[in-house]
Amino acid sequence: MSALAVQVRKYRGQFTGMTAHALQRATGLFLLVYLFLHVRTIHELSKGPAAFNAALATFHHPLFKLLEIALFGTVILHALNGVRITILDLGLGHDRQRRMFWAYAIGLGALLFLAGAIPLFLSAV
Amino acid sequence: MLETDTIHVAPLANLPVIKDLVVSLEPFFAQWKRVTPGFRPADRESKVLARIPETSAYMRQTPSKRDCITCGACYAACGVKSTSGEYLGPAAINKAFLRLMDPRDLAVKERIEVLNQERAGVWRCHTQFNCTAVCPKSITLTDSIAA
Repeated sequence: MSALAVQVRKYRGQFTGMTAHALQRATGLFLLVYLFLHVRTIHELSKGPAAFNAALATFHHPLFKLLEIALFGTVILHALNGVRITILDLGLGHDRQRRMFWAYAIGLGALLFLAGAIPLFLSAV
Repeated sequence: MLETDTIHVAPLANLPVIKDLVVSLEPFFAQWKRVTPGFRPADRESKVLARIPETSAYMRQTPSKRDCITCGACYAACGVKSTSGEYLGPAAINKAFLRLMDPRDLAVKERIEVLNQERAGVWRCHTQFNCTAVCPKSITLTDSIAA
């Protein structure tokens, strides 16, 4: 098996810990892209209100409303899993790391996501 | 239950293949030796057995961690190990942890120095828990690394 195939298999999410690790990496990259766009947009303020309003107008497109909801979910997942990782790094909860991921990061995350995503979606419609 | 109809058989990862499914454990044991795995007693010439009381903290806290059979499964499963030749790997760190927890062992400084290395030491662990998941002796290796 090639070295690349071995790497892909490792990130297949066969185990919960690996799934959580891969998701944390993926959400982190997504947030990095968002952060760049965010700073880039805010920077338009330095060019005056007209330029800033023009930049903001781009985000009125329905696609960006959906991306906003996706961003909300990404932040929740990254934050809750980040708390899980912090707890694990303190040497606590190693015997329940799977439960911490599925019950808190995913379960609680899903509840928080629905609580925020539904109003976001309805305000966009 | 395997929950699959397909079983994929391959040599242990992160280790050089000698032939077919046979791999060399030399890299695994090279890392193992770096943590001074042998017991370093206070008095090497002592004729008295250095016993550890059954009720001591060492006996209470490390029962399962002493079961390592150096199979290399954790080394093969580790996601960090697959991208870092320098990382010690879960088994070696677990062994170092055991020796550090042993009140009779004096080689603390040299082990801490190795474990504290930026590229090889405990800081490389990303708590993926692959090592803990594959260990046939159910040793909580990530816990040893975090400790």
